[in-house]
Amino acid sequence: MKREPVLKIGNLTVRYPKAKTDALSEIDLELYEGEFVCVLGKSGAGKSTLIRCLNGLQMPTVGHVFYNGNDITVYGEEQLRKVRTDMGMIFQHFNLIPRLSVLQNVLTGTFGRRQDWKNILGFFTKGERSNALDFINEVELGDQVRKRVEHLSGGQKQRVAIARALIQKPKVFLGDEPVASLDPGTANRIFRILGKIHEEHKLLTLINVHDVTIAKRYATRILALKEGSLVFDGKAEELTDDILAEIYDERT
Amino acid sequence: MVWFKKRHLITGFVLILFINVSMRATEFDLSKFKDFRNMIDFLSYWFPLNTEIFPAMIMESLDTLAMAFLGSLLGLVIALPLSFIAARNTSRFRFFYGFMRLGLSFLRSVPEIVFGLIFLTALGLGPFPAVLAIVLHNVGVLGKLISELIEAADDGPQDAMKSVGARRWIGNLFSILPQIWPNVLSHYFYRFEVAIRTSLILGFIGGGGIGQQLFNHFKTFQYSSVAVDVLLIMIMVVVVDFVGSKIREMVI
Repeated sequence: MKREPVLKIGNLTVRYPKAKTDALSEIDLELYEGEFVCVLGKSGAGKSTLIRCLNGLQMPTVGHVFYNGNDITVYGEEQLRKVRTDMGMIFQHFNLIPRLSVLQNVLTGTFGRRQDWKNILGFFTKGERSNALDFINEVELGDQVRKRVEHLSGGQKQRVAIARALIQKPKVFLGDEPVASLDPGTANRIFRILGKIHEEHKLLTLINVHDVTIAKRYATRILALKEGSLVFDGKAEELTDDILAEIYDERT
Repeated sequence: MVWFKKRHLITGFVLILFINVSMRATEFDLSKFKDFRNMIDFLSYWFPLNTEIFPAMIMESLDTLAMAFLGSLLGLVIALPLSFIAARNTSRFRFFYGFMRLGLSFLRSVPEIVFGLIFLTALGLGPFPAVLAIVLHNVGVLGKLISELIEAADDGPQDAMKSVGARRWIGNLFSILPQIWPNVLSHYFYRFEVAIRTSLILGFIGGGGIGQQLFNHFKTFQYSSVAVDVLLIMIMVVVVDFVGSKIREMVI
């Protein structure tokens, strides 16, 4: 029986207003459950735009994004909101809510599935709180639950963001350069956690990354973008030095 | 002359010209201080202070404080939601954004004393019309200031709230308010301080409180009572400033 892709991208093209060239140009892709996909490419190659198109944070100029067979590019805000609850996302600059604690930040991950008045008043069930604590423990921050997020290190902040994404119980996990602001040791630790989560939850994971070594170590599939076009789609072992040199315009 | 360019000289010349014109228009003349002795004679009537009126004037000061507090707080409560409509990045429709900006500009452009005169005519003498006048002007001022804070807020947390599927207004509230809250408080306490001074002026036209007493004492040449009024006003402003900065410190 043929496997159905979780996400399917057809002829995806994005051109930002006033730009002279496409940020993404005619991308066709199928992404499946359980894949750990790393997206490589130089800065400005279109990696972030690609990731942001998958959960509708960026709408394509041309083309379609299908989630479980449904075209989300024709969705209204309410339908898009529901799709986003299925997709956890982490960012380069963590994008946590300042002045809130680790626990409070993680609980905001449930906002898409709860009634607004409960979100406003901060009514969370015991189950939701214990869920949040479980995910905080999963990212090894059990001793920082009540700490305000601005007092955490970069790596800890990213782990809070991971827990916030996990509490959504996502089917797709997106990462927009999640380790670009972190030192190599911390970046490795974050990817170790992401790898573990991917193993346990069997999600479709799609992450932009600059570090080729990390990508090769964790990814089951690697995509590479160059000037908005997909120039490589294959397994880590197929990514040769020559291909890398072409992606980065130099010998890596 | 490394720091200065030709246009700086032109700016300086224009500035001097404006200062000169303004001095002529306002009859600015330091030679008038040759009669400064009159001022010292006048101030000598202020002492000794008329301590008998202290208890009554403290009560009047509390009325003024209540007017300023209520006026500025209600102003903040009304301005806060409106400022989200008046901010370019959170306003949903261009029309509402423009309409709200215009409305806030109108409220700001009408001085409290004009609102006060209108409400005093419509509602009669007393502090209530003064409170309404302070509320309306503060909605205009705080609405503009807070909308500018909203526009300058980091959009990262807003992306994060969108990506968890939060409804737009909930996302805006949670991602922006914690970022701008310390500055909102700063603006509020400053406006509270200004409202104290405004309620004094509104007292002159029948709004009650220590302002009205100050006006009456001045008109009836009771300068030792005027001194008590002025002293209480100064204490009030200093206390509000101190309490405001302490609260802001606690919040930060």
